[in-house]
Amino acid sequence: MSLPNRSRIFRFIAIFLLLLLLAGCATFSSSPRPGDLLQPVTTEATGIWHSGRIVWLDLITPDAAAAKKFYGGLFGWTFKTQDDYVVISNGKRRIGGIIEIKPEEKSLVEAQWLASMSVADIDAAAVWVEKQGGKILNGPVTMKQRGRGALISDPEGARLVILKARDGDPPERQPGIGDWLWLEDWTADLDQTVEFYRKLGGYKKTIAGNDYVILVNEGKWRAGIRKVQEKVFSGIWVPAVRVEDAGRLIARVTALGGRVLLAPGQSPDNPDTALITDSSGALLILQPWDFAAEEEKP
Amino acid sequence: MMKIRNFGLFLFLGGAFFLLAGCESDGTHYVSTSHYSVYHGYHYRPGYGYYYPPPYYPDRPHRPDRPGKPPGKPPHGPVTIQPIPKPRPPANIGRPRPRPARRRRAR
Repeated sequence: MSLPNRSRIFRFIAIFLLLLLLAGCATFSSSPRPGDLLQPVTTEATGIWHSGRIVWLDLITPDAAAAKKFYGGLFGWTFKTQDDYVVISNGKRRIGGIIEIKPEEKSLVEAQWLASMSVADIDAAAVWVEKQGGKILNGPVTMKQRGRGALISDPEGARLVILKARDGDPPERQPGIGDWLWLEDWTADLDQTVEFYRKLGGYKKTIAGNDYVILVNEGKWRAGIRKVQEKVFSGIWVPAVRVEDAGRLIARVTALGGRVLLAPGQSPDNPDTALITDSSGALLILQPWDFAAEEEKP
Repeated sequence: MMKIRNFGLFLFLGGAFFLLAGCESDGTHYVSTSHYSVYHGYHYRPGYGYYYPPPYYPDRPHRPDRPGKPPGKPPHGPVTIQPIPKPRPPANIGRPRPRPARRRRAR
């Protein structure tokens, strides 16, 4: 059966267009997409995910070079730049990353540590977050090396990445000197925030203290929620780095361009702990911790 | 014969539509089916980390830590760190020391 000439022409053009489309798609898929540059949270593919665990921290900063100088000088962290992403290592251990985002001119800018929390089902969690009064700021999106994640803000405005890491969460290890020791969220509404994160992270247990709640899963302290009076400090996740002696580091903080907001001795519950900002304004806690003496009692 | 001709027309129009849709994309916009726009340009606001994951710029000549890149004008001018004034921070900070505590039951 022979087709009429017009149909043949149509078919030829259609196949030609489809070929062009496929060629276009191939070009598109080979270009890196936003998020593809983010490195994996672990190089050891565990295939295990721990809901509610903080698995990574990224420093969002307007000046990556200044951040490297500050943290390298303070903790001895080392840095490896891959594409536009900087991987931070403490000794041989990869502990986080640096993302440089240039500000708009004349805007007030400060850096911030952005934590990634392990969540099993990112899409379901994103829908749930919005129903609970939180916001989805970006995503859910699949990042080539890192996994599927979304940037959210809780009802108090604190920003956090929920992440299902591509290869599983990093192996659990006791934090050494210069590693992340802790992460706490400062909020004006303790009860609401605890409820939000208890369900988001699937925490089985919480331990309440004085204006403080510890989020526990699998028998481990995962993070804390602290009630703060000052509105300006509400809605911020603040990480803590384990140090030997916060007092000894204070002079170095200022010499490197950071600021000391609370020196050791100014925090009644943790008199050996300091609160600082890095040279670009990111909040950070310096805290000694003796794991032998201060065993968690969940 | 009519059906075959219509099928050819359908393929033609469908191909043209997809081609045009593909050509409109510059690779910086990705729209998911869950109505969230994943990426819209490159901005920075005091809302730190608002644009995460970050845009991909394979060639950012203004990066001071990437020698070998050609010199160029920064896209948004020089960076001036202007700390946002804050009152005194909370008095208590950091990981709590283990102590007997009231335990909340998970509901």
